[in-house]
Amino acid sequence: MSPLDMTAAPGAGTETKVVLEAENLGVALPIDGKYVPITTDVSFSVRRGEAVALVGESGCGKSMTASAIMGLPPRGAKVTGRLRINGRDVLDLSPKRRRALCGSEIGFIFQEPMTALHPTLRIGRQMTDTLCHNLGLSRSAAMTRAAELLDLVGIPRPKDILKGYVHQLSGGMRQRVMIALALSCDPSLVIADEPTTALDVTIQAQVLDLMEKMRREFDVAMLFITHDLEVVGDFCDRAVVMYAGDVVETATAAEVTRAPHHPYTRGLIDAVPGTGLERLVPIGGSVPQIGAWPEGCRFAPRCSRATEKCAIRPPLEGAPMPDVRCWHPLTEERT
Amino acid sequence: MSAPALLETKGLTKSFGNVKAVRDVDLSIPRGSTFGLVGESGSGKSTVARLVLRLIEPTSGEIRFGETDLRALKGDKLRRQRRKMQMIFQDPFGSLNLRMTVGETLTEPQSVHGLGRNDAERRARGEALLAEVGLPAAAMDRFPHEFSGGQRQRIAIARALATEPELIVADEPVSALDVSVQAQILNLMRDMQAEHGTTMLFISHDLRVVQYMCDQIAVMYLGEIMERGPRHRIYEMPQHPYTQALLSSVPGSPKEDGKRAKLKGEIPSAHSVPSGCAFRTRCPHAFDRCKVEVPVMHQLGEGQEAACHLLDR
Ligand SMILES: Nc1ncnc2c1ncn2[C@@H]1O[C@H](COP(=O)(O)OP(=O)(O)OP(=O)(O)O)[C@@H](O)[C@H]1O
Ligand SMILES: Nc1ncnc2c1ncn2[C@@H]1O[C@H](COP(=O)(O)OP(=O)(O)OP(=O)(O)O)[C@@H](O)[C@H]1O
Ligand code: SF4
Ligand SMILES: [Mg+2]
Ligand SMILES: [Mg+2]
Repeated sequence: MSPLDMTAAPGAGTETKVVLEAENLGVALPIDGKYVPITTDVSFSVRRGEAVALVGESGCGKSMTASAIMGLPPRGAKVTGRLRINGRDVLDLSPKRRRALCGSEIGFIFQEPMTALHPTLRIGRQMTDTLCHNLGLSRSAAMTRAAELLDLVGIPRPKDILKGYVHQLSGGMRQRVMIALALSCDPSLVIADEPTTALDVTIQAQVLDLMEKMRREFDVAMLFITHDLEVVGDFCDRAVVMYAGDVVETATAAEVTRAPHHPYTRGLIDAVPGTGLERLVPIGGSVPQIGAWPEGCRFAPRCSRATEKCAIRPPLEGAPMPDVRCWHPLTEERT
Repeated sequence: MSAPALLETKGLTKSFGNVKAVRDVDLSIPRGSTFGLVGESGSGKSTVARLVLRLIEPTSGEIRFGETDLRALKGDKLRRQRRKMQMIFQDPFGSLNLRMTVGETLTEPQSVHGLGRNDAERRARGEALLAEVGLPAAAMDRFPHEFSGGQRQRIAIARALATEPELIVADEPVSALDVSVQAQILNLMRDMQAEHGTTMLFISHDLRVVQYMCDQIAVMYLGEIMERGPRHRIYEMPQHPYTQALLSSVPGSPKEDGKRAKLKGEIPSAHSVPSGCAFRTRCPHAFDRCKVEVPVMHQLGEGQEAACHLLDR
């Protein structure tokens, strides 16, 4: 399905309500006096109750896309295209209204909780500030709510933790606090940027279980940023695959992880060691630097299926297969 | 059974103040094989690597390299021994000298150890090493910062090979790389090993990578080895509750009751390792005895061993 087919009509059925919609979203940054595109034509949507993965290798523009959605791109950035949150265009809002909207409708979970949590403020203070500001609660009501939230995310002795500081917590516990904070304003959208990448596997499993429980309990739309295809298959409903600032493929998580159509996605899967011991098939070469993307298909120099036609940039819609930015998509399923 | 051990440790122990980083580690790495060390953060993997290379002194225990007692080596003898043992780190930026050209990086260890008859010969060998790791000879005159992460790791591998070592210790060599590049480096390391017959101690927290690379595997938890054995035994029939939980926590593993997590709670701090079995505070099967008695290694066949009281039947 094309992301553009799912435009939210006001008052549409709640199950299919589109919470986030990006259409040709692009970010350019001023580097040495001129704008250099970092992401281009990023289009996808996330519906209520759905977890959509934004997946791709380091530097492909996942976090940049997230920061554009949150209204916090780097200084001097030029953001183009359209971005709708709950049906409302947000790119033309004033910075003040934009911040208010994001504060009440979007929750964030980062890879490194220390970037989002204040080191010298008590955890209770940070949580109640958010609750008072966004929900207009009194201090004492906010404190009660904060304790409830910590309890909900599986933190033992929430009242004691509220009096403490983040550095006293383990990585897994910090991530639980982040999740509680992200959900504190009852958002409709949660953006999680590599939330489990820094954690040990046994702790990662705990945090993914918690995120799944929270996602159902709060019925939020979730944009889940990761570079790990196994996590995509395990946790997400749909996936948006990015390469060099572009969306190259959008499909269900099962399709992306088992029978992808874009040669890059196939290449990613073949490069990950599985349980078999057969020799890995790496993708040759390396990711192009920003500012030095090839003219046509950005993957062409590394692609085994490339032909002359690939000197023309394939569209996401209008190439042989919908939602696959490729002139020669893989049509046969492999296992 | 297999080739004689190139590297052997007995009762290897290292404490930093009251932190017991490594306790009673016995390793035996057959010549020409790849031995994997896995475990979560803080389990002592890097400390074992540094002990084995004699970069730090053990608190107690033995280390043998072939016929040599490594702990007894000093001065010139130790320096000569170092030629035979090289290291590859996670972050090549941390291990490559940023002010040296790639050419200097590859010829310097040769001069230090008196390899090659003259500069021209050492340079030629540097170029051959670059070709072997898939980089052009033109890279000789460039600096590390001019290369991508994957290329820098290739340079680090070429440098490790420059002294024709018998043992390479690789500590998380691909953890900082993207998967498409990670696959290139893993294949390269496998080829190197086959080509030169180098023995490798390969450290990683990524169970899939270890499975791909290693013949023998040891699973560490809080400074101790919980289980070890040949790859197929560890992955197909793990006997220690920790190994079992670790393997089934890998994303994509089957869920029980819709849940991924097989273990509750957190990894205890190395300051306060639990009494008895170090794993007991998280073990789903722990019983009275686990609290009071340290489990011994049980022989399970084909060289597989695990330290758990459940196996005492
Ligand atoms: N403030 C900035 N100024 C200049 N370039 C930037 C800035 N922030 C990011 N970039 C560049 O933009 C590109 C996209 O970065 P982004 O952080 O979105 O990548 P990512 O997909 O999140 O990667 P990772 O998986 O490593 O987090 C990268 O090439 C990065 O170097
Ligand atoms: N120089 C040191 N001084 C004090 N404690 C140390 C020192 N080096 C290591 N430790 C401690 O020893 C324990 C084992 O650390 P080590 O670095 O060997 O673990 P690791 O398994 O390599 O972990 P990681 O996966 O995070 O690299 C940890 O608790 C660590 O904090
Ligand atoms: S010894 Fe006890 S606590 Fe340790 S792994 Fe075995 S059953 Fe679990
Ligand atoms: Mg990022
Ligand atoms: Mg380490």
